[in-house]
Amino acid sequence: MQDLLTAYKPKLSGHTELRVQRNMNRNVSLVAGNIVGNSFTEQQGVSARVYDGGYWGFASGADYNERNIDSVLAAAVRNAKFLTSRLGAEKPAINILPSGKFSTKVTRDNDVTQKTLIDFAREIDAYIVAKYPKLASRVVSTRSDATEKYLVTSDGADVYSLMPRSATVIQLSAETDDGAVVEIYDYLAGDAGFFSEVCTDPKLLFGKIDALYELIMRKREGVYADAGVRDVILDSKLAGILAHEAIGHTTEADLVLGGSVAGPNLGKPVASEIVTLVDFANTALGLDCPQPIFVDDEGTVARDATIIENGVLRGFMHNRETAQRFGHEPTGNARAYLFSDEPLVRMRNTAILPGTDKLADMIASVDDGYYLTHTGNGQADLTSEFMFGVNMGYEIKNGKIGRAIRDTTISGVAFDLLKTVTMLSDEMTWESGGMCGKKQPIAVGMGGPSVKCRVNIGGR
Amino acid sequence: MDDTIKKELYDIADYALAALTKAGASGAEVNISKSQRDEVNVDAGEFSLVRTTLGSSLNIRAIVGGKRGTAATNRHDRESIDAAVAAAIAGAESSEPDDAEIIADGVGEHTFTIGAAAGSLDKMFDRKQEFLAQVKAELPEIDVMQFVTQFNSGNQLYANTNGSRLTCASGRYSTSITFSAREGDNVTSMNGSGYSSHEFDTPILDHDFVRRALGEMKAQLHTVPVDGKFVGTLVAAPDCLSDFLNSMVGSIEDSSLISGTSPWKDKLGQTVADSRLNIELDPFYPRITAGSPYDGNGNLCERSEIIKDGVLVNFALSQYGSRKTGLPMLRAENGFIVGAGDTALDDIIAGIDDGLLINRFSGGSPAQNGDFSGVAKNSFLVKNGKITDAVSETMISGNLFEMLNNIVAISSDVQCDGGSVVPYAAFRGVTISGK
Repeated sequence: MQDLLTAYKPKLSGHTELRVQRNMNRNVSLVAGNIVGNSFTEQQGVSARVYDGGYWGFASGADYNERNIDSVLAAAVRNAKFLTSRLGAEKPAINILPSGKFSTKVTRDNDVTQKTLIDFAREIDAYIVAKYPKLASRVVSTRSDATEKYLVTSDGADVYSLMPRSATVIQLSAETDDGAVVEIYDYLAGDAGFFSEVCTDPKLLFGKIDALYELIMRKREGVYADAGVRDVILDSKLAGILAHEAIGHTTEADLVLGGSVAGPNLGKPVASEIVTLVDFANTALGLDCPQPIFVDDEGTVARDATIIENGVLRGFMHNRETAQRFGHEPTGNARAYLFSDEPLVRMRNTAILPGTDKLADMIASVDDGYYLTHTGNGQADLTSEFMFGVNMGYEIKNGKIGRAIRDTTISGVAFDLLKTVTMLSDEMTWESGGMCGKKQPIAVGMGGPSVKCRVNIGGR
Repeated sequence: MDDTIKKELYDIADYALAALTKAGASGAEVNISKSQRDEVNVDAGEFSLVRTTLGSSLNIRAIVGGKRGTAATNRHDRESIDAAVAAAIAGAESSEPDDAEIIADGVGEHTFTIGAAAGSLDKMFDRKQEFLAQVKAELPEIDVMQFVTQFNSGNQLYANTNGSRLTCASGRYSTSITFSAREGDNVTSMNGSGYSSHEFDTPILDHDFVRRALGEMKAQLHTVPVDGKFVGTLVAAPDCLSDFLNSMVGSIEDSSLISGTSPWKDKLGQTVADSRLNIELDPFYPRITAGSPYDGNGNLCERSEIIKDGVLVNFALSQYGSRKTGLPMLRAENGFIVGAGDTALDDIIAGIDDGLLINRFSGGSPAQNGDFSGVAKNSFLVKNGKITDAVSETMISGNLFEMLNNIVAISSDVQCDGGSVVPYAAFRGVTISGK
């Protein structure tokens, strides 16, 4: 990406952000062996955001040249002034912060062609159809996206980042004896990196396909969950969505301003003492996070946001404006999806920290409940009432895994549910393939250990 | 459409189609647009941001040796077009031949104009300020959260190598409001409402469904849990009914029918629902403001029934899905209309002894066989013919396809938000469970 922004740095006044960004997206999808999706999309352009008298003005355009940069800067100023002209400039200026500087070491050298994704998906599909002909159907998806951006601000921030991520996902369908179709899907591979770095060899994933086939065969025989509040073990693959939906959204500072129950609970116990939850900026427990943010899209140096520490609600996720309003330190949670999007308060890598228990002991401790292992979509609320879909799970009877269950949904009020957490496993699983939706989509990481708690489970 | 813009779009199409043909495509199509979005934002009850985005797009689909490749870019300069052409050709060459991949027959030249040519930032600001003042005065318990209003204008061209040239100039306002109610530290679940329209002259709170959604929030400050579980009647409000029926439509789209996993794959022409259920897409219906006159493959759209008097009369297949399965194509992409019933909502409620009025469903995606479960949000118990307490921590579960045969009544009241026209509907036999 050619640098045209440096020349503008001395000219930026007040609080101004100038960002050039390119989003690339490759998708291949095979449904029952048919290539129904085969696309390459590129969206790029330049945007400016200006803070003036308490209001933001934003403008963007696709062309990346000096004329368009001048144009979006002028339009952003004009838009902010529209609001000050109608409402008066009565709010304080945004604090000037130490400028963030960052330049990624990731290069585009390892990017691949569309053919690589197609061939990879075909080989996965061929393996499934040859080995498991009795499946009702299968879907194989390979995908790779990358966000490249360059940001300069009036505070002196100077940031270049390139964040690729890639995945191979499959869905298997099987018919039950009564003619219904049950499905299961899962990531065979998914992580930060270009496709060739994350999905190196289809053969390495065959073992995961075999394991998923075993699950769908058990699900074929699955029973409906018994609706009601039950003891459950959420596998570590579900801890991330619990952290994200149940707590994360409720503690985004813009939602706290909107009335979330987290507001009046700051400093109070909201969870069992064994629960600590952090929105990590870039590094967790000594390892890189799936979505490493070093400087956010307002130019703020990103730092970890400790949300719950030993059961006590300690803080929120902030952009500059909300941090100033609450009198808190900014955390660097302002993130924008496309060049044409303004930064919003978004999560980065939200995780419950592991405990000391063994998963086997946790399962053995449940007399009558469920062990839930695969999840789907989720949703949050101001009240901290959350839900997420469960696509695979099992009964636990007298400490032993029993029959599989069919698709269901679990829900609860997070600040109640977290008080019922009695065990956390000593493992840590990160999920990073999905997108979070909140006016704009954004890639997020989420993680945690297996969790023993009580939740409301849907069923019959 | 302005002649200068039209010429610009035609020139891009001619250049791209010629380049694709020269590169070996036996057929190709392009969707090209230039657009502008003006947006006024309120966050946490206060004006926060004005945003202007100038957009452009070029989407290419090329067939090379019976193989399909697609590519998209948001730039219209020759270098970007050349790169997108090369990406589409490379994608096709890497793919597999598929007889279902075709470029639609040429339909000649058609021009459409929908809505207003230009929006007004002042009008958006004034209406929003008026709304905030009205809510503060009339519904003081309401917290307006994210409240976004846009005017989206665009000029689009579809062109293909079979001679189709379809242009559409459109402009519409859209507004979405997220809100909750608060009393001290007590806060309700958040809820949302919104609509799209060609004009923005009507006060936002004058839209009945917006006022109703806001007006119901105060009662949600005090909720009761459902004790245990029971099987009762579920009254699905329009937004919730849309979610359920869109899931149903999803099960008769390309993916489910190509994979053969749709539970209705063999049901065309058969009764699948209560005879009072009618579902169609009609992008030209007068109260639909966001209808598409042609689809992404250059097929002219028309009013299209999916369920008529409970009979499945069409699937929701695209051009590709139709050719792949040998089943008919749905000749519309949007304008979702559910036929109104003949019973007033109040009369439906009056006939229910034990049930739940659900305004918003927050649940996992229904399973392929129609099983669903999720949380009933912003919802109320119905007891002995009356709406009573708001509920908390309440889940519902059932089977979508069974529900469509268990309809108690469909309301004569409909909600029209510019994108859809949907009534209330009551279903018997849904499991409602609490803590």
